[in-house]
Amino acid sequence: MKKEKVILSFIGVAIGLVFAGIAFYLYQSTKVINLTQKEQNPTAVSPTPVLNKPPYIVITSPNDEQVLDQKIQSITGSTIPNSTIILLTKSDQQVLKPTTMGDFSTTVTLENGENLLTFIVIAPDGQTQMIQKTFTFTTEDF
Amino acid sequence: MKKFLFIFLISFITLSFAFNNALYAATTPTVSTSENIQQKLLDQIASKAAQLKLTEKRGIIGVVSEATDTQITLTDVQGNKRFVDVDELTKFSSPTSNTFGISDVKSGMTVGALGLYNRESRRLLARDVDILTLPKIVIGSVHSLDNKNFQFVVDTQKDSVKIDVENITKTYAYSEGTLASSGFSKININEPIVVLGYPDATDKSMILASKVLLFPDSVKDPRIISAVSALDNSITIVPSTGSGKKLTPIVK
Repeated sequence: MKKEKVILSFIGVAIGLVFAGIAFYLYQSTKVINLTQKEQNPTAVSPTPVLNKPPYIVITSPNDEQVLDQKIQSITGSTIPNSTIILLTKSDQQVLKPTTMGDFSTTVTLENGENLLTFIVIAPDGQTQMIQKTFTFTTEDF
Repeated sequence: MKKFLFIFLISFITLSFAFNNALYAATTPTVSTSENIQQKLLDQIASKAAQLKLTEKRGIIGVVSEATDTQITLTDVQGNKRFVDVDELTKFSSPTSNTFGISDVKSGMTVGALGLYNRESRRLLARDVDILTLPKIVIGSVHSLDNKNFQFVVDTQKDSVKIDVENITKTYAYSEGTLASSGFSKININEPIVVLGYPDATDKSMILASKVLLFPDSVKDPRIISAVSALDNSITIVPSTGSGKKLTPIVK
């Protein structure tokens, strides 16, 4: 008797699950998804041209605000390849070309005290980026 | 028998205590005066090393936003707020005055401060404070030329700047991998340009160029949108009716 009850309850649950599954399938099939124009045609061309990211320039050595005890200082950094780098100091100007990897290096003669060095990068597409670094030359001990 | 056992136990305990004390005395070194000095020196070196790691020499440049008797607040070239502490050892220098001091530091001045920077407090204890005059840098493309007055207008990403070329202005052109001397006559409209100069004393909106760098081989920055001047007669703008139809003069 007990065994029959258990089997019957299992059969009942199975039938219930089948009916619930059918109902869920019917509900899902009746859903209508409204796609926006962008979703329907994701490859559509934008009317305004999208600009590339502005070029980056990083100075790896020396560190910004570093105090240096040598007047002639080597400067290294990296930027995007095929770009033009302009280095401006108070008394000098240099135009550099980076390597194919984007690395560049040069030497500058620092003046006594704080020197503000301006690095401008012109990307092949014409976009520009400017950064400024402070290097101080002193032999004073404090 | 009991008495014998008691004596044996007492003597064993006493001997073991004595032996332990002797062993402890042998392993623990006695602190002598020389070792005291050595320890003190080591502590001082460790303290100095920690101090050196915490502070470092630094030089910063910025525009004064606030100045008191003991502190200068600067806005550095990156736009960050910096705090510079000033004490009796701080030396001040200015190209225009020999008696320059903290009381002469005013808001808007550009200063360079050299001193000890504390990484923890992010403050600079200044040893030297110099008043600086930094040039203005204009990056953009040439919008228009005034050949009569040796002036031109540069369009930047933000606005347009009028540039005046003087006798002292040095002009260079970067072409085919070389930076060579050039002149005003070589400047062309829509050409990428970099100008270094100082604001004119009478017309603050105009820059007196000290250096002009031309880049004839480079293309114009696409982010620069040149606005057509309303007073420019060289370009004919057809007026609009507002309905989409252009008004054109009737030519008979």
